[in-house]
Order: sequence, then C-alpha cells, then structure tokens
Amino acid sequence: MRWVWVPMLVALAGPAGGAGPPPWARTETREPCRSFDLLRTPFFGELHVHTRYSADAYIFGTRVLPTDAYAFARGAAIPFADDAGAQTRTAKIDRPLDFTAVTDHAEFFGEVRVCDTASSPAYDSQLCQMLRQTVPPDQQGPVTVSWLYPAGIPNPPHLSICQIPGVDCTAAAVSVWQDEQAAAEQFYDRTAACAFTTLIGYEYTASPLGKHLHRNVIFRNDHVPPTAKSYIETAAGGTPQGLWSAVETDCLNAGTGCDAVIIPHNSNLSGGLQFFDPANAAEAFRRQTLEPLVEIHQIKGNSECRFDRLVRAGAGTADELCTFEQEDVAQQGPAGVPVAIDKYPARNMVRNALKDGLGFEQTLGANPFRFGFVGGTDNHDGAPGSVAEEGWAGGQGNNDSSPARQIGDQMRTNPGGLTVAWAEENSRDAIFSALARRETYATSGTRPLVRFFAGDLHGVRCGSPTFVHDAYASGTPMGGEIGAVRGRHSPRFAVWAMKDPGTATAPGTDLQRIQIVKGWLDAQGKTHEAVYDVAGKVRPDVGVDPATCTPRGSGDRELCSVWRDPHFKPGERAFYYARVLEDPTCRWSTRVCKAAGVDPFASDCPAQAAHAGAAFADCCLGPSNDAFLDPVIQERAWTSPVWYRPEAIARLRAAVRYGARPATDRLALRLVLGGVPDDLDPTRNPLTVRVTDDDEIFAITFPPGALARRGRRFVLRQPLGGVEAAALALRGRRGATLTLRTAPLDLSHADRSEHMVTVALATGIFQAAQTRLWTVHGDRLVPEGR
Amino acid sequence: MRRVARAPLVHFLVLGALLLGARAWWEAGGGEGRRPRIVLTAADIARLRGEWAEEHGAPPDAAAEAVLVRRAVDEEVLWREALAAGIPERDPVTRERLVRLGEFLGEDGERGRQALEREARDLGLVRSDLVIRRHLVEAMQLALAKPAPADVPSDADLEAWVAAHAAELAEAPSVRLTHVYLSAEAHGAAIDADAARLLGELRRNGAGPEAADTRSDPFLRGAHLGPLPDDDLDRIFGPGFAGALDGAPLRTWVGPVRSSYGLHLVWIEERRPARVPSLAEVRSRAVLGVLRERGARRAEERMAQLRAAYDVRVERP
Repeated sequence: MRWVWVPMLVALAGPAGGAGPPPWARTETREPCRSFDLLRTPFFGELHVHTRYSADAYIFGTRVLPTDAYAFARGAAIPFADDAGAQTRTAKIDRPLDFTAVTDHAEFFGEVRVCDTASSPAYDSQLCQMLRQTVPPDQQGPVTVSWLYPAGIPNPPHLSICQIPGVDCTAAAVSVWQDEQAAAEQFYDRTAACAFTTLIGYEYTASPLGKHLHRNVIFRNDHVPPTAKSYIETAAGGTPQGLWSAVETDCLNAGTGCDAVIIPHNSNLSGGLQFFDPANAAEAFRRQTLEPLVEIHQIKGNSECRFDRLVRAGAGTADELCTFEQEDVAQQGPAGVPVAIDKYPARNMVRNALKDGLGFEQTLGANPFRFGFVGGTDNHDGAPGSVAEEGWAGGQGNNDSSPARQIGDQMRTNPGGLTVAWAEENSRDAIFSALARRETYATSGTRPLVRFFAGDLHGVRCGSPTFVHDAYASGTPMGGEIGAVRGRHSPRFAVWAMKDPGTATAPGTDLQRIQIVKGWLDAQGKTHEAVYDVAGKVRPDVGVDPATCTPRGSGDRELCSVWRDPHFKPGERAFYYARVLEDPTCRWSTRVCKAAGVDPFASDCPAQAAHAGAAFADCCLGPSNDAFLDPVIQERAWTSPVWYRPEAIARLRAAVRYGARPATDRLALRLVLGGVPDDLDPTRNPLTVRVTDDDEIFAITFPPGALARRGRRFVLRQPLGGVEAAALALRGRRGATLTLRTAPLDLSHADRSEHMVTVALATGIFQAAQTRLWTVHGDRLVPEGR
Repeated sequence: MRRVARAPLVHFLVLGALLLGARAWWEAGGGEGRRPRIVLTAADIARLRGEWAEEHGAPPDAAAEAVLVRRAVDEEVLWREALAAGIPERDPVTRERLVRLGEFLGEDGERGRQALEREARDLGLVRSDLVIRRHLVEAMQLALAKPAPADVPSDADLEAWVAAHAAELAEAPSVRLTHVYLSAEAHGAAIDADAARLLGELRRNGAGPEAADTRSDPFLRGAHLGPLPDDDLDRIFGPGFAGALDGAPLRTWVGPVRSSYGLHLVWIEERRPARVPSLAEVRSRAVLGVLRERGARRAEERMAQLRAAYDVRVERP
C-alpha cells in the first residue's frame, strides 16, 4: 500500500496543495504561480535603476531603455558608454534578479523625449544638442547645471525648451511614462512559471540646494496614475508634501485599485534634510503610512550609520563598523564638501532617524520614521543588480567607465546593494505586500539569507525543523511590531542566517557574526543605541590574502541565535534589527587598483601609484590615512527592524467558530494592549477592529459613545454591526483589554486551513496590529502560538 | 470624428494610401527617362561624421558610416516622395506646424489659421523646415512598414513563428524536489559517513519525501522546493548543484550532492522538461510578432523600390 499513500502525502506537503491563502488580496489578472510557500521564500531584486529616460543618465552617455534594464536583470548583456561616450562596453549580471523596478527621474521625462525625437521642434535647440552630445565628466558641469537646476530650486519650472511653439512636454512626459509601463508589462512573467516580476515606478528628485529629498514611488500593479508626478509638478516649497498629496490623490484615494509605497533614499546626501521633523501628529501618521521603507545602501554610499576612524568618533554612534562605504560629503551641490564628523548632520543616517522616530512616537503618537530596509544600486546605466565587487563595470555611464575614472573620480562609490523580499510567490501582489509590511532586508550586494523574528517565540529553537513555522505562529517577522508579549521580561529575538551560496567564479563568503542593533528611548526622552553580537565571532586569523584577494581561514556557513535583550525595560519603546556580517573580502577598488599595477596593501603603494598615473593616487587610501576607506570590506545584510511598542498588542486570544449551518459562525477575541495610548478614548474617537486574511473576515467600528462607561469599563450598550457583546477596560499603566463576541454571522471568508490572520485595532492615529499563523482545531480557527 | 481624425494610426493609413498613389503615378511614366538625382556631397558626409562624433565621442567606423550614408539617402528619398505625393497639403501635423511658424513670423496676430499657413507655405517652409522634414520622413517610414492585407497571418504562419521563436518562448526545464540536508557545521568531519549511512537508511526503509521533515538538518529555505527552473537550483545551493542531479532518477533518494552548505540527499518528485508553450497560450504575441516581421520586410522592399527610382551619387571627402 505504501506506493499509494506516499504520493498523496506529497500532494499535501507540496506547494499550493492544501495551503491557505496569503495575507493579501489578489488584485491582478494572471496565472497563479506554480510555486507558492505560505512560510515565504527570499526573492532577490532591486528597486532603483535609471535608463536614458533619466536626463542625468542621458548626459552620462547612457542610451539603453527600460526594456534593456529588465533584460539585464534577466541575464542579457547590454551596452554601456565608454570613456569617449561610445557604446562599446558591454556587461551582464552575475546572477539574474527575481524582481526589478526601473525608476527613472520623472522630472524631465518630457524634456528628454522632445530632445530625443528628431521631428520635435525642440530637437535642434541648444539644450537638446547639449543633452545628446556626450562630453567627458569634467566637462559635464554646464549641461548638468542647464538641465538639472530645476531639481535644486524651490518652485521649479520645466525647461525652456517646453516653451518652444509646437513642443508639448506634458504629452511627451506621458508618452515616456507609458513606455515605462509597457516595458514593465513586456518583462513581467504572468505565466505560472512566475520567473520574473517587474514593478512600475519612478523617482521623485527634489534636491533643494543639493540636499537630497529623493524618493522612489513603487506601484503595486498596473493601475498607476496617468502621469508620474515629479518634483516639478508637486513642488511644495522644497518639501515632499506635494508628492505625498499626489500619491494620495492620484493613487491611494483614486478608487482605481492603485496602491503604492514611497521609499526615500540617499539620506546620506541630504544635508540633514531627508528626515526633517514632522510638523504635527497628523503629518507623522501620514509619513508612517506612506513611507514604510528606506533605501539604506546604494552606489552613492551607505546610510545606516557613520563612524570616523581617524578621530574615533561617530555621528550619534560609537559603532566602529559604521565606517562602511561612506561618502565624504553630507550633501551634493555647491555646499557638498567633506564635513568633519562633529559637524555631520546626524539624521543623514537612518539609525539616528529610527531613534528620533521613537521620540516622535512618544510625543505625537505616530512614528514618521518607521522604516524597513531595502538596498539598491541607483545605477544610471540601465544595469539593475550589477553589484559584484569583482569586475564591477561602474554604474554611472562615462563617469566611471574606466579604471582611471573609477579610482580618480568615484573612489567613494561602491557597487550598491540588493533588496530581498520574503514573499509567498514571485508576483506583483506578493512582492509588493512584502514591501508594504517591511518583510525585507537590504544587502550590500551579496546574497546571504536571513530570517529575523521577534515575539514570545515560545519553543522556537535553533536547529528545530519547525523554526520558521513556530516563529510565524508565535512572533512577528522583520518589519513588524510587538508589544509586551512576555510582560516584564524581554521578548525573544530569533535570527538565522546562511551564507551567500556564491557562483562558479565567485564563491560565497562565509559569515563572521550576527549582531542585533537596538535603539531605544528612555524615560527622560533621550535616545540610545547598543550593538550586541548574538552569533558567530571575530576570528583574528580570518581575512584575505593581500597578494591574491582570496579568502584566508574560514568563518561559518550558517549562524543562528534566539536572544533576549539583557537590558529590556517594558516601558521603553525600542527597535531591533539584525546585521549579518560576512568575513572580509577585497573592495572593488582594491581589485581595480591591483589590475592597474597599484597594490593598496604594499608599503610602496604611493610609488606604484605615481607610476600608474595621477588618477590612481587614491588607491593608497586606507585605515591609516582615511576616515572611511579600506581596501578590505565586510559585506553585510540589514534586516528591517521590529519595533517594540509598550502600548502595542501584548496578548491576543481569539477564535472563529464555524457554525454547523451557513451564517452561524462566530468570532470571539480578547486583546490586551500593554498601555493606554492617548487616542484610545471610546467617548471621543471611533474604535475599529479588523480581522483579515486575504479577505476581510470581520470588521467593526464603534462610533464615539457606542461603548458606554459602566464602572471601570466601557461596555457595548446594544448589539452593533454583528457584535453581540464588547467591553473595553482601561487600566492606565497596566494597559487596556478589549473583549468582543459576535452574534452568529457569515464568517466564511475565514479559510478553513492554516494561514496568516491579522488582527488590527485603530483609533485616532493609534494603530496596533498582530499577524500570526492561525490553524484549524475541529470547528475552530485559532492562533497557533502564544 | 475629430478624435478619429487625430489618431496617429489614421494618419499613417492616409499616408500609406497617398504613397501608393505616388508610386502609381511614377510607374505610369510620370518620371520616365530621367531618374531624379540625389547627391550626397563631401560636405554632407563630413557633417554626418561630425554629428556622429559629437554624440558618440568618436568618429564612425566604416560600417557605422555606411549606415549613416544609407540612412541619409533614404531620408532624402522619403522626403521627396512625401512632397511629390502632396502629403504636406493634407497632413494635419505639418499644417499645424506651418500655422505655428506663421504665427512666429507674422507681425499681425489677428489673422486666421489659413492665412498663417499660407504665408508659411509661401515662404517655402514646407521644404526648408527641418521639423517638417523629419516628421514627413518618420511618417513615411511608418507607412512603409504597414503590413498589407495579405500579411495577416494564418494559423500555419503562427505555428511557424512559434517554432522559429521556440528558444525565446520556451519555459526552462524545472524540478520539484525534497532534500535532506546535512549541515557541514553540524556534522564536521563525519559528514560523508553520516550522509552515506542516512542514505542507506532512507532507501532501506522505503522512506518518502516526508522523511525530510524529521531527518533533515534545518535548511533556511525549507526542505520542499519548487517547481523551480534548474538554474535556480544553483542560485539556491551553489554552483554545480543542478548539474549533479542531471539524469538522476525520480522518486527515490539520490546523492549525496555537495552544496555551499554541506551535503544533500535529494528526492526528485517531478521534472518538467523544457517546453514551448502552445500557440493558444501565446497567440497574441505571435500575431504581433508575425506582423512586425512582415511589416519590417515590407518596409525594406518598398524602400528598395523607391530608392531604385533615384540616381544616387555619394561623393566621399
């Protein structure tokens, strides 16, 4: 009989068979993916690359189109500009990507199109001619200023060529936006193979006086606004307020099925402006909602944190690993000069913004800087995910098209990073939902794997075959939030990493250690940070062979830890993220310098550099003479944080009981918050409770006054919206408890299988949510873990 | 109706008809005897080279220059054909441009559009305005590439197109598998012996893939994978993994296979060979593909016919 039941078992264990729905709605018409995993798979991609439709990329000699960029992500070779601006170089990616968004600068979509179309009346204008001729980087000043100046001033106009009779820059911009959409459609795999996902997006490029407020807008599906609103259409005195309004009006509230996230980047070049203070609670809430992610690493530098090794001081940190891939300037534009660490704007760095976000949440009730992490390249040559240190082709057209230009002009750039999304399948809905819930991590370009969970995590052990399942049952993954899940005791944090498996030509580097980075706000309103080593260790004998750059010694193939915070205080809001460090490897520049005959490790490096030419002098920068540069780097990954909020959901008991007959199902829940947020006042604010999977299972809003005071509790006076009984107890510092029981209802939207279910509570600007694996026990659907 | 008249596709259809009319006139003997001459002077060639160098940073090589010259000749041919066919008289884009030019030139802004257009025509701007010239050339190129009624593909044509593009349409071979992972970290020096023993045990007991749930060391991506393209196996386990499973039998434990992490005993549940989707699955892509190819071929043929009607001289500098 054995041969009969074995295949049956496989059918049950296999993907899609018997698995419940994902915790998001399907918004697309497409084939279902053949491969689906309720407990999620890591998909590698990137959300930041430019093509010829970006004016600056065009100036750098880039001539490839969005279709070429997607083809590159899938493994095709594409042409790059050489030093002379001719398209003689080619490159291809070392490993294809799973998803990509081309994000051209929307500011000059129209201008680029009219200059690129021979029959346009603007074609022969001086501005257009300037754009089309490719000049060496040191002569790009005039064209860059003439073309890009609007991005740097408060209320920018379109370029003068748009005034030429017969030129319609608006229509031209729409045609480019349509090309972007068509390219994404062409490369999106809608078959069941689900080999590649494209996301439609664009970049908003406000840079008042060279301070980057840059943001990428990434859309969920092809229901996108008819125009890509840029800084020029939305300028609001040099703030992103106009973009936020445009995304709300044209997308989120348009009723078209449009959904989007906004992702700030290059805060390291924002002169302290990127994460400006929110004006009030409403703005803090708005930003928390619209901007769930930040790009923490890219070719123009790392934005996690900053430490100057020469003066042994950091920007709000003592973390010595924060020398990694830093730009020397704090902004671009005329004021973009190297800045001493004590003058460096601390909030250029994401970790400092995350800390300050805790303070805003404490005082305003919402956290404007609740960012998960993504990484990207920001390549301006149509090459997404071109991140290998070995043989890096550069990323900015003819600005870094040869060894001399790479070392001489762009020494502090790097090959950029990747975004990893934990998703059930490789489709737009699945990848976008991972982005929206921040279940993402950024890497500095390599492909280590990392899982990170926080919560009660009862029974979650390293080495357990059910680690991931148990963690989803009793905790939140990266990007989520937890309350006082273990009362006064520290929540548990489970982190598991495996090394990059590597390729035939570039073996993956072993892992050195996993750290957990904590930021918190103390009772006096002061922020702090701490970095804990939780797995692995520094082995002094592990490094690189300076002669060949091959690894010396070995680290770990995988690392795992279930950790508790030794300094946890239940009243202090905090965030925790994991940083996974690889063993040391040679930086891209070290390889380029060596190939040019200059050995950064050699004692006579300066002499070798003098022989190789003036451009190679920077090859000899390193720990002894530079604040940040090092011929040896440690590639790394950063998981999105988990936030500990004292007033979030501490405990939840709930059950959907399926009735024997239709419309006789019931829901009961008891939800404990660890604190009483200001907005939780049932006499003043409506209170909404929602239970969802891919559908809405049940939702109720109690209008102000529906819950009436009775003794020390607020009690539902009469049945409302299917709720038979409800009570809310507010117990000050001991938190709040909401209990709720429905009348017999139709809750058939709650699938009768193991799957993720979210319970969310919202009142005023206060929100708290908990997503866990729920499972079927007899006639009940209940959360599996504690 | 106004909407229809403004749609670009309609323009091209109109242009196409005009063009065919022009050919009919030509072939009927209107130009018999003395083929009109097109001369590309040394100065023209030098200008082409200069423009190329300005945009590309280097002068064109011989092949690039040949393309430039040919393109310049073709543009001249198309422009003349458009003029001969009287397209600028009817084409709304050209007329709009003339009105704009008239406004730009004229001192009196009160005159009607027709007067402005006439003034621009009188000044010879149809022939001298570069923008009009480029528009006419582009419009002619699109008209040339318009498929003829005979080009609409039959099912047999579509099947042939799918066959010809099999490589590009093909779905990669894929595999669904379960693996029992032996972590190099956990097993250390005993890993080979442990793997051999475990493999023997699994086979002896007739264990199925469910055994991975209890016998495998935990693997971050899980024990049951796929269906995945074979290439993805190397991206997950490291180079050489997919190759090591080439030809391995289905539904039995094979291995051990080495990965970047340790050793794996593998149960291949299912293999999907590379397959070309059926015509039904890719029909609209195929129709577009055939029409695009045939359109391009038409354009080449028609261009060659037009070119042959001219006496082209190229003076090398």
